[in-house]
Amino acid sequence: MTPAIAKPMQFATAASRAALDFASLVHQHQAMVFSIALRFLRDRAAAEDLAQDVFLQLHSGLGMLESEDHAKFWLRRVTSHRCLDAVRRKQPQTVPLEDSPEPAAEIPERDAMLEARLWQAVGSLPATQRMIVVLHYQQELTAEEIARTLTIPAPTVRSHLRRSLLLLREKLTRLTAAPGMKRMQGTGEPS
Amino acid sequence: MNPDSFKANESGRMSEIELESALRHTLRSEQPPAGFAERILAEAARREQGSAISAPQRGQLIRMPGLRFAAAAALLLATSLGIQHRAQQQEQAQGQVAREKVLLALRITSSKLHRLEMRVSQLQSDDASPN
Repeated sequence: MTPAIAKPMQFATAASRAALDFASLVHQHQAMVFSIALRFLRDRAAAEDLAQDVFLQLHSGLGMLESEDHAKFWLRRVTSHRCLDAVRRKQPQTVPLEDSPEPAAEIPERDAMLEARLWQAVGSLPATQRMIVVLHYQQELTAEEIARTLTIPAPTVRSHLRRSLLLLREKLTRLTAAPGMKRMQGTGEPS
Repeated sequence: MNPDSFKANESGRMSEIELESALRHTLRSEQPPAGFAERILAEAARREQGSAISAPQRGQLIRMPGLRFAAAAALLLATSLGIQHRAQQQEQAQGQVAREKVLLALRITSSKLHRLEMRVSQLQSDDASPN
């Protein structure tokens, strides 16, 4: 799948081109691009590299973008597709729960443990479902917007979302029901 | 983060709202490391300098009348040289074909002459025989 690598849309007007300043686009959208990559790839260095590549691709095709909205849509679309391509190049597509690295977040111990479980559960989802979950819960995109971003039908997005929630609930229930987790929830101490 | 957002009920199950809220928190947006944007801008600038002539500069060069004339003359010269080279090649190929035809004709003539010579010498030897 490579629409991600496609050039930005053509036929931009001279005025709109002049209005699009690369530096301000980078500052404005760096968190979005980096966060999609980070939550999907679950690897800080890989997310940083991917985000940089996306912005450099934007730089080379900047003159063809029509507006701020177009640039934002393009960035989100290219980031998503590049993430999916990166994961598909590595096999297997899904990571077993127990092999998922936990996020190094500086948050209270109890929340950190619970968040890590959810992070693990999300990481074990198949690539497309994981990307849909990231785009929906991080970027607050509707099924239709996700469909346009990933070039898949909206009903497919909805069914992936439903299935992902079921899977996540099941995995989380299993993980939180684990002995270490129960003890931690009860005492607030790490297992 | 609200600690209750991850709280499971007695059976260990989370409600849909709790799960969605937990997902929003876990997948929350995050700023990239400090200096990230500056590194991108520096790399973009480096790449821009790397390409000897940028697209707008190329456009400006093409708009210069003297340069336009020189480019047209160079193109015309290259085209005429190409045509001349092609004609020369065709001529050479035709020459080669003609040469091969002549050689073949000579080979045929030589073989015929050889056969005639053989026949004449045979006839002469027949005449010279005693009976």
